[in-house]
Amino acid sequence: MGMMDESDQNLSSSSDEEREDEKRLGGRRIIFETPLKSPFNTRAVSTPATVPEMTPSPAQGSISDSVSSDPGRDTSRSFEKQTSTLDGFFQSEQRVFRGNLSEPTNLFPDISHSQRRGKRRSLPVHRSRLSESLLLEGYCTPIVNRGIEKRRSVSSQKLKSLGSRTGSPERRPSTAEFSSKGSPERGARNQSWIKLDILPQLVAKYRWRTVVLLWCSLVLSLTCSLEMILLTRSAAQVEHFHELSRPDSLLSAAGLRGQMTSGHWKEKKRRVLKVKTPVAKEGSKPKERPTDKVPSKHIEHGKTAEVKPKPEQAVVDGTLGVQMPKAVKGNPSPTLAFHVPPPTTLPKKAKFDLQDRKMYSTHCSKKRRVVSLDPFFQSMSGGPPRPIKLYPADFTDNTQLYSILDSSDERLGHMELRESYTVGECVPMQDWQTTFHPSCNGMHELAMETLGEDNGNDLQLFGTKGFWRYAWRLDLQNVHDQDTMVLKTLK
Amino acid sequence: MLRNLSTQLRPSSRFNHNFEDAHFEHDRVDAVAMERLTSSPHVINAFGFCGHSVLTEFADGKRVGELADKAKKTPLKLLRIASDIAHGLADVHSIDGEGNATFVHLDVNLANVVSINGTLKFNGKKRNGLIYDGVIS
Repeated sequence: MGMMDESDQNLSSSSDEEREDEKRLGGRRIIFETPLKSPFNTRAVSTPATVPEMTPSPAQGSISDSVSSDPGRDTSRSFEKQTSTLDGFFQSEQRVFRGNLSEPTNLFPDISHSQRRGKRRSLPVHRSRLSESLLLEGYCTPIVNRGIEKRRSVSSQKLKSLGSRTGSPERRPSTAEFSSKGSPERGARNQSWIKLDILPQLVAKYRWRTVVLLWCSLVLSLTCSLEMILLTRSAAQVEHFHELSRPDSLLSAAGLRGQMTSGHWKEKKRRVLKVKTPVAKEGSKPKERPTDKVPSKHIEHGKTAEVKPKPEQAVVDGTLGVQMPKAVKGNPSPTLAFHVPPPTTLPKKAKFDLQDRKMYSTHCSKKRRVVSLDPFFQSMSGGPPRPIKLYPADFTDNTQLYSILDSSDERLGHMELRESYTVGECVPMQDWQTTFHPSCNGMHELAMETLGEDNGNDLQLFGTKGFWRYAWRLDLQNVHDQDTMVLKTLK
Repeated sequence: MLRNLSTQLRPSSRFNHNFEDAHFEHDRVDAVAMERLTSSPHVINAFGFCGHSVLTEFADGKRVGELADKAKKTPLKLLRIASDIAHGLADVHSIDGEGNATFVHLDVNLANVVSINGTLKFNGKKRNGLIYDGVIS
């Protein structure tokens, strides 16, 4: 290295590895050198070859073992001017802080053995700073070193304040003073200046590498931006992707609602039209008729009925005689004004403990008289599902009247719908709560048409005060006796 | 069946209630509860159920109010009345075993307590409620 003088060449342990360390530490040394001095010609401070007798910490020992002595090196002027042991201590610390591992580690050159121990006891803060320097110098990241520098500056300020209290401020110089070999103010100023100056110096040193790095970064950024442009899907591609991923055949009512919510409802219509059109085979391509756009002003906020499209008019194709609806062009795609929030809590599973297994067993298929209302509990019972034939009826429940009766009709106000068995966290505790055991056959076996005649059977209405039901006294003549029961009917 | 019964009513009489799903559900719960409580001697028995109609046993006894008036001077009879009502209520609440109350009456009053063969029984569980995991429906 050019920055090393002749005395440095006498080092016995100047191997390649140490040279690399010096190179690395030399870069760090720039930070604490004055701007007047070239960072690559930094003159390392030499110290006497006496190895300190103090017991170093393990980290200190590991570092100091790799350091060789250099008796022929010059001592700096600051060392010569120092008269007190405190200054010697700071100077030795500064030497270590500057981080030349090829130098000897005589940390306290002007202090005898007894004096040194006394000073060490009296200055615990300095000792800790010294160990930090030995431990971290050259082995830690620049970020950590930056924190250490900040900490040192703070501690130096504390020392200055301590010196002012004791009346000898010049005896406790700061780290900046040592690094600049001048006044503390100058050292601080040079420190900040050096930090800003490190970049152009590095550029000057590694010029061709910097240029190559800049070119690489530029090419990389251009490549990334080009890929982003190429990979960005157009709106038509996104629409086609939605059509492929959501076929119409798999959609339920909830799916359609979701479609309408997400605005893909119209796209489905368009896709169906494209698939079923026979015009392409004939070669004569008629123009697509303009679509019947649903004007947005007709879509009122909060109404779901406006989502339904207008009934499409049939168009008779003269060639094939196929009725074609109007092609839907454009995408008005009204969306629902409200969204049904998902349930916040998942329903819990019911814990069943069947009480009367014989009576309500589902395994005896012949005598079973339990009809499950909820398919969930039917599947829980484990038995084969009982087929129930459903007969179509014109009128099944009152909800069919919603579209017939006017909303102001009072009959709609009397309608009461059955509440769901499972609502949120409320689940049936037993399976009988969701089953019923009708005996309609037995009820209809009663000879209602002959009741009240002179055959021994009688029917008398005696309970009319109930709110829900009438109560009838039913006398049925048996072979040996007459049974009296109560028949309750809807009032 | 209801049509046949309605022919025996006065011509002016009509149904006061519609055939609603909620009413069907109430009658279903009533019938199922009576069926499951046939083992209890203090709950009225049911013989048949279909839709809104239900066949129950006939209460030929006196009303509870009359029984209580007659038993004013005999504390043991009063205690017997109270015991029957308490046992009936306990049976209703123990429809799934003791300590597992899944059903409540919701309309306990003397009008819904009838006397059958000298035993007081609960009736009229129209306003009954199923307890769905701690919640009365």
